[in-house]
Amino acid sequence: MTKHLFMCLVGIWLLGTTAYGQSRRITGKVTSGEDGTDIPGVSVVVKGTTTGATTDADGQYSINVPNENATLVYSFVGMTSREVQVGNRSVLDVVLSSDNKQLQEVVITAQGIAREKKALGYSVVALDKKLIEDRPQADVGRILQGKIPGVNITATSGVSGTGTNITIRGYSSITGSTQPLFVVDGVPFNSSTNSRDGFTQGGQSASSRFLDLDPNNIENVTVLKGLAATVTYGDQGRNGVILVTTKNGTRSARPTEVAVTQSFFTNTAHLPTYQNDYVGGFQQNLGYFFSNFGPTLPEAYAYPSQNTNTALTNHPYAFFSLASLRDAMAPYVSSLGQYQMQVYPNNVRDFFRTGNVATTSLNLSGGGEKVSYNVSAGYHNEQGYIPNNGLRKLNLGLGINAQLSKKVSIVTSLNFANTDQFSPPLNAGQGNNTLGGFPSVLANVMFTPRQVDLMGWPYENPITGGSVYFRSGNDIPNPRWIIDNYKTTGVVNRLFASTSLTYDIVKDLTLLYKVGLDTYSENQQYMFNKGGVDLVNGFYNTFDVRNTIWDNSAILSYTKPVGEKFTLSARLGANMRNDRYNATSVVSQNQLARNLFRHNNFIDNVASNGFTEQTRIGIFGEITADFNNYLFLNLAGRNDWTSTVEVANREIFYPSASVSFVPTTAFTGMQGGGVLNFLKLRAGVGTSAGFPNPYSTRNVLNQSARAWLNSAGTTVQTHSVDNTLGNPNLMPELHTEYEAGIEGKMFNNTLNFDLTVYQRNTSNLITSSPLDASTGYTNTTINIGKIRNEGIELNLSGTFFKTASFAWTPTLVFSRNRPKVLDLGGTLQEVQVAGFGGSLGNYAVVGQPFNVIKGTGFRRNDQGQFLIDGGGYLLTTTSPVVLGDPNPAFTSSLINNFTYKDLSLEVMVAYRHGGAMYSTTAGALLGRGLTVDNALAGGIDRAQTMIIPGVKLADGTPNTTQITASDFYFNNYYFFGDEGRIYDGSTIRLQEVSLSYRLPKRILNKIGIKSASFALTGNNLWYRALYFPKGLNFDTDNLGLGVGNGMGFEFLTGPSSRRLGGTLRLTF
Amino acid sequence: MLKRYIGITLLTATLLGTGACKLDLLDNPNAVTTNNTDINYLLNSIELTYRDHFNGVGDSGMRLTRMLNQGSAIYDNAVSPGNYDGVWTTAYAGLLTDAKTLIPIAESRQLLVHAGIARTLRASTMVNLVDAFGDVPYTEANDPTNFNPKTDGGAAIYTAALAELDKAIENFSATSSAGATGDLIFGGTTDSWIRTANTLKLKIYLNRRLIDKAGSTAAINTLIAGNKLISTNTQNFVFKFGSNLTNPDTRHPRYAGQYGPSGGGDYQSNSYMGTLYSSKSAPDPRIRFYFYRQTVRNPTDVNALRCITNAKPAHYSDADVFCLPTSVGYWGRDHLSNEGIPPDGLLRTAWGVYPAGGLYDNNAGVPVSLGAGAGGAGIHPMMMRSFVDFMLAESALTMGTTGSARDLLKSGIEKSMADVRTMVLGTTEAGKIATFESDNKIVWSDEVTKYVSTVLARYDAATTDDARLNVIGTEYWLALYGNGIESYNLYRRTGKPANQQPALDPNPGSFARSYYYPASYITRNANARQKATVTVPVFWDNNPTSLFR
Repeated sequence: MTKHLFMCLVGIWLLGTTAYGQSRRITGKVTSGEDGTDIPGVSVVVKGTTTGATTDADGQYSINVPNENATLVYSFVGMTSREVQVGNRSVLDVVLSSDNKQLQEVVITAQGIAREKKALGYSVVALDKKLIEDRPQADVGRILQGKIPGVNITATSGVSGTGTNITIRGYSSITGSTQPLFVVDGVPFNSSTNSRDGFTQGGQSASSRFLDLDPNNIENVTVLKGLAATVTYGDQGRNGVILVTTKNGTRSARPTEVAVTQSFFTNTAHLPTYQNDYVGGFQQNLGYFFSNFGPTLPEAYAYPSQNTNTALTNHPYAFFSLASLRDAMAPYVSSLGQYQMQVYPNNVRDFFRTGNVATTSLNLSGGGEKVSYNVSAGYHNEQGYIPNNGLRKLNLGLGINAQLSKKVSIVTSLNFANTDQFSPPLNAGQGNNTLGGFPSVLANVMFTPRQVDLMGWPYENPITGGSVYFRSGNDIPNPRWIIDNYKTTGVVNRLFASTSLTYDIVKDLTLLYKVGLDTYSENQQYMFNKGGVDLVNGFYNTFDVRNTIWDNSAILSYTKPVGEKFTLSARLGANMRNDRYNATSVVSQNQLARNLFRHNNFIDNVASNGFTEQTRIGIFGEITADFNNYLFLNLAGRNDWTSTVEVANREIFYPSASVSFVPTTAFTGMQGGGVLNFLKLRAGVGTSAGFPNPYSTRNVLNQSARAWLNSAGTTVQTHSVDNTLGNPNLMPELHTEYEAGIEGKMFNNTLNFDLTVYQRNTSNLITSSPLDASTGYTNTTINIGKIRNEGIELNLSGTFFKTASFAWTPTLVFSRNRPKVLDLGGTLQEVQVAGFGGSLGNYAVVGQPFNVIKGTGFRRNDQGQFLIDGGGYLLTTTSPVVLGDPNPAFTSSLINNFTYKDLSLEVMVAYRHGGAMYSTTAGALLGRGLTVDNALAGGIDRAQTMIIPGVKLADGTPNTTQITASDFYFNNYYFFGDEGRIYDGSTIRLQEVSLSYRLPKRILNKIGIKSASFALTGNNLWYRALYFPKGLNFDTDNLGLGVGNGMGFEFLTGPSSRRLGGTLRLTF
Repeated sequence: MLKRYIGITLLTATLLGTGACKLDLLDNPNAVTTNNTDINYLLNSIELTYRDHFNGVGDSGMRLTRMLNQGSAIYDNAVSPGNYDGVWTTAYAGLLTDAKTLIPIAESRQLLVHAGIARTLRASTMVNLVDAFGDVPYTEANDPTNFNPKTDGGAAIYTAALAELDKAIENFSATSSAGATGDLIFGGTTDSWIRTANTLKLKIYLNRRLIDKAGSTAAINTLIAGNKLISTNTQNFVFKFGSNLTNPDTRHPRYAGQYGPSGGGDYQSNSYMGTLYSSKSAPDPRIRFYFYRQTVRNPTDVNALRCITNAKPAHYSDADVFCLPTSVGYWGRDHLSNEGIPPDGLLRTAWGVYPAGGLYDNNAGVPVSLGAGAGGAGIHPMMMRSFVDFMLAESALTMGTTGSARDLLKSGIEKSMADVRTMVLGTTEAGKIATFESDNKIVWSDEVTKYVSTVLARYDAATTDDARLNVIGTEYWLALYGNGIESYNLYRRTGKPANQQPALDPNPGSFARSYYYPASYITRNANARQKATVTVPVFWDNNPTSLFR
């Protein structure tokens, strides 16, 4: 199918190149009046006709004119248009000068329509490739972090290839997707994170599928945030739209050139500062525990109660409870001779490595006036900061622009991506092994007791090949054994093709037809040898996903100047999108031979597969009116039909309207004095729909083919009513958003500002709503509830101290979003958004900010004092209580750009204010006594007893019971209840530093190089979470719950990384 | 020419498009519906769900009655709302919904054994919910059009359960178009099901005796006269587990949680182990079947067991065990101990061969491991013939129903001993048991006789009915290992065994007379109200607070 379409298109390009005209030919060159450079992409039109041409990369054009009376009109964005009569000339060079008055900016809006920014009644942010390419990250999501106001981007962890969460203007749904729509080269691009299971079943190693984009192949990114901007994208646009134009899909003219880029970066983990005074143990008593609450070594040698402790003089492998294991390790233990306990200060640091990241990109473009092409290739090879973790990515792309005839043009892009991600398993841990019985390489690394030689001691049972580690019960999987024996991989092969055909039917009337195909297969494997602690007999899971999106749109556009002061344009479009998702999972357990991962090497196999399909059809229209170039009105609407609800509720209509007013054009006097150069006021109201996931309206039964074995050993099957109640009355949900903004340029265009305020209300939210089980079901999909997101977005930029050779251009990005749950349908008090069923997690609670963290708190009396039990311990609350609001009060970044001649320095600093964070790293490291924070270096002498401030539960008198440091930190604050692990997440970060140097052209041109530049770039170089103890060196940019609606949790799935390196870019 | 190609392209694209242009995609292509379900599969699901229900709802009962460790410091946290979402869901969204789906299908096809089994298990489930939580939704429950079902009084649900059991007995006695040969509990034997239903009625009437002595007396006498109570080993209402590790995992859940390479799992109760070991002249004959010691020596390392250096709390009496109940390696937790977990997973006392299908304790003192012992082929002792006799003994003593309390006590112990013995000898541990007993000159019948005579002497020495009830209650408690539902009922009905081990904290709050309602019920049901305290009793429990500790 794909192949046929491809052949057709190839046929058209071939034909297009031979299309030819007649009559007299004019050639020439268009240059800029300011610096004399060539201007590519200038529109050259024979006045009064539809005959036109565009200048190529060198500013050259050629056009056929009917006679010598013809007038050519030269126009280009931001330049004053010029009209020149041809006369008898055959060569016509033209100089265009900037249109200082207007300084028109053109941005791409919905459905790829380029419009003047001043005409828009809503906020649109366009990001140039300069802020995207040559970055150390392969994930475009992470590159955009902090650069766009209103867009919140969080990494799952610092492990290479893990997913990234993106939300725009907050959370518009409780349980539905809040991820934005990616539109690449005009058509939808699947950006799902296909994790095999939840956050306690190894979901954290999955990548987000925008990882398949090559950041170096991106021409520009435009973000449509509000519903007034996205309405024509239908329900898929309700969470905002990220429009990506690849170099292959761009419509602009392409210079004939070859660009080669080579980058090299290092990738290291940010690690805590460990104390090395106290060694492993508990209650100041030496021992091989998870915890590091033993004595100091000098104390251990000094005190009689300790210096006879056999742990001091015997290797822990001599203490295994299991005789067979003890015997297996006996030769090793005896080979050591006399053992003396010592501290290994770098045991954790040495577990991590410095990964190398190398990226090579090649871009080749060229062509003539009728046809131009772009070929791109990229290869990214990344090593993670832990061994056996990395990412290899190959991107190939081809783009062709062709003017097929006078009336027909085509733009097509074909992209292929092969992404190969591999990692040891990652899964949530609470600071004592992993959760859910699914292994995780990092679950126990960060709190390795100081006397454990993680990198020196053997990690494999020489007889069985199983894991060996320091606890006598051998109940911690050795992380090095996991690296050798456990592997997860995800291989994606993706084809992404987009084609747009434009047909100029008559003057002012254009038909655009777009078809997009996005299809990929993702093959994940989870390969665990037998001999570990979880899934002890070996585990093999293949999880194969196939996802296909077909998207067709036809848009009819009409533009008509009605008199001199009024222009009307209208668009009518139709769109159909079909999504198909296939998943097949085979889980095998009980391995026969080690290191062989084939399902037939396992005794038990369980297979399951599923298929979902949905189709949406929409008709949309848009009318824009331009009054006198200072008042712009935009009306749009879309009517959708969805396949995911019953017929009666299938259709929904939703409109939007926006207005833009430019007082500086209307009242030209305002520009006097050079203070205010440009001012625009805008306001908009937008709506959008949301559709439920497929198959939510009808009831089903679960079945199990192997539910049990009866006494004869025969398999027993079951059918049981599914706990999810189908809801035949399910309807699409409606989102409404109001936004207003003010933009301006001041002081001779040296200061630009763009301020937006918005309020978004979502009602009849489609929610996977929990039901009291006594109804017979535990949840249903239902239209309930109302969420309000209110926020402010500010973008301030300026050019300070501009001289001939030096300029300082700072940009400030500020976002604040307050999401609030207004209603949950009357009877429901709360909905758990993410987390552990019914306990610790994010919740939607009426009247509270969305996503508040609830968990087990410490009991307090009415005065807020802790209640203390008979043993001097804290008491936990019976039910979960609200522990914090994970939504930051605001996020901001300051991007400073300094240029001096050919040298440029970019420094990006980000600051997040507030937002609660539950951190297992904090809980585990403080609760187990690993970092400097609660050790001698932090002024804490653990030999002293401590008293928890509070009152006795029994009689209300002040607590006076002395407890030990182990009790205080481990048995109370950090491992008892959830409250002790909550911190304010305010973080300041040096996000990006980039120093680049562009080699002077005059030298390069002599050796045949068009341009060359060299850049040194660093990413996430330094940060400080202000309210976390300093020694933890904790990074709040982490999503322990994985990509989804939950936030503010960290579960030891990997520290963040620092990346540093250089890029060489050559253009021939 | 060109136009033709464009035409072809557009046509191709349109065709591709229209092929996908279908909005009728509402049926889930990945699941079955009630139209193509199989009633035998539904019945299997109900029985397997009842297995989970029994294990879940009885868990706190075992812990509150010192049959297993309770890991919170105070009673208020021991029965916290978050513990019971699973119990609630298993019962209502699992068993009760499936039963509601099965019964009309069964009746329309005259598959009355299927209907009878579903009714018996549904009645038992409702009674267990009342005993755990008090008033719970019943008449308005399991209705997909009502998201906020109101509760019914516990007494009314008991009455409805009795009627349901009668209806089940009627179903079992009627002629069916086919039997339930796939029945996992009794293989479709209707006599055993009738006896189970009658025995459940006995339990219901016994619970009601505190508030309706006359009614219970008459009803129990009728049941005794009917002679259709569980009375033989094969009639025991048990769920049998297997030893398959995966796909499906058929092992006993307590075994599965403990018998792995790193051990761990449930802590046993020091109090229960101490009673079995040392409350009689010799250790209880069942002790080597109930518990498996991973080490036969008491720990001396404070890192393995912290309390060995602690003094016995001042509020503990001399008779109360503390920290280590014996000198031979039995090692669990004291009541309401919220101590953290040291590396003792391969040291602490584990579940034995009865009822969890673990290891027989032949003094081997080696750690548990995956597949060790009987491989998890244990049972859930849901209602045993010994329980019948203990209940009848209590009934005879407190209400004067037919039969001698002393004789019933004796036969109760004997039946318990016999059934435990039969179960363990039916496992792969039988050989080990025979070897150990012959090596150590242990003669089972002598041990039992000695034990029974010790108990009867104690019973005969008792001077008050309360003291006699304590003997009966204590023996019932010791026979109930693995059944927290009945041990919790027993304790609330009688306060026996008296003088249970106190909590470690001298002020643990009052004993929990029912569980808190599940958190999910409270937050999702507009008509739900959490109880004020854990001391709110269920409808049949009119005992004074002072009876419990």
